[in-house]
Amino acid sequence: MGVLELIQQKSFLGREFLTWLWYRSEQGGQIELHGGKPVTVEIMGPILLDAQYGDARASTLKGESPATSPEAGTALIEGKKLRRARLKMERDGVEWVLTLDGETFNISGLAIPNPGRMPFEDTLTMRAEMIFEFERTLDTLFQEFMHLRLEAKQWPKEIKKIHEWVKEK
Amino acid sequence: MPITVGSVSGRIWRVLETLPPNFKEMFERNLARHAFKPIDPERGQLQAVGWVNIRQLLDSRLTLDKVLFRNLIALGLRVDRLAINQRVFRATLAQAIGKKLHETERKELSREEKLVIEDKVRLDLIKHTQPNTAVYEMIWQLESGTVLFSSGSQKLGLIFSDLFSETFQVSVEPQLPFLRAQHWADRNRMGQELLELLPSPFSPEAPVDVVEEVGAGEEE
Repeated sequence: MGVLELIQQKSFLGREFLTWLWYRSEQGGQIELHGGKPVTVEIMGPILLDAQYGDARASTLKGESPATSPEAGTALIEGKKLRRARLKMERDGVEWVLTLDGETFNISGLAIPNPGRMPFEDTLTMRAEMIFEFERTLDTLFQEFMHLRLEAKQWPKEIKKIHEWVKEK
Repeated sequence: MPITVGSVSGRIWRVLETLPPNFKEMFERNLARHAFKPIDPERGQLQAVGWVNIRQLLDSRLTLDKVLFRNLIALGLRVDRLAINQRVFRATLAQAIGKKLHETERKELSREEKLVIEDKVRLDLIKHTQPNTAVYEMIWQLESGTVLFSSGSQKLGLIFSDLFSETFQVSVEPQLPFLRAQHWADRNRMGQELLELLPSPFSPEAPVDVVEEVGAGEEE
């Protein structure tokens, strides 16, 4: 099977990661990472949920806290996963707010603080550092997820906890 | 949205190879070669792609000092596209064919004559049409090999990665979830487990046959 086919076939990974982040964000916020500072994630909104099978339609939820809305719970019960979400991530005092697409990990609207009047090179370097620090944090979180996801003994336990969370939403 | 100001959007890429020691000389040479050049209507071009100064999109006379900022390479990618309005094209073509028939006092033109007129009309319209211009940005952190390109479009991603590879002589790969997972799995010798991985039902009420259906689809 070619790479393009594999990317398509395994496109559920990004959705599962986002949904897992959502679940973990509602378990006390902080996600501990192996050998690194913990990350706090908050799913803000709007959020987009969809299922990759059957005739299920996508659910876009907006408003003040769509992630905790009854509609979000209904969508999860129906088997939908998080496809795209506006979220806040914080690590070691640095905060990022952005929309993350679960299928592609495309980022949009990543807010970078305005440093004020600075030489272009300084501004560029500062902005680049914030962007790439975010990327490192995202990648570390995803590795943490993959470590759990491929762990034959741990993942079923995690799924069981996720099921309890979905039931309670 | 641009990388250099405001909020940021785009896709993360990763350079797959190590840069050679003399990369700066190579960059300078290749930047000039792959800098943006306007569409050449005489050659029937409808699209032009090339690098521009990230601080001045009309500046395509690129030198290393305009693109290298400490440990970052920052460039604009300019894409100009010409689109001929098809209704205008058809109307102009009909007019040109009518004129030729009148001049030659004939009722019909041969297929070859029509093609010649069609090419001339198309070229004339191209010469008199302003291109649509779009500029995207990229920043490349040399040490980590991480690149942000300010578009998440698949089509633009192909244009970007081709130009990047030709210019810098290294391959670049989009950091899609599966590709990240693949790198992680390779490092941890779990490649086979990743290939065999199926979606997990996150809902306690997801029907079992849904998961089996996806599995059956994969076997096909």
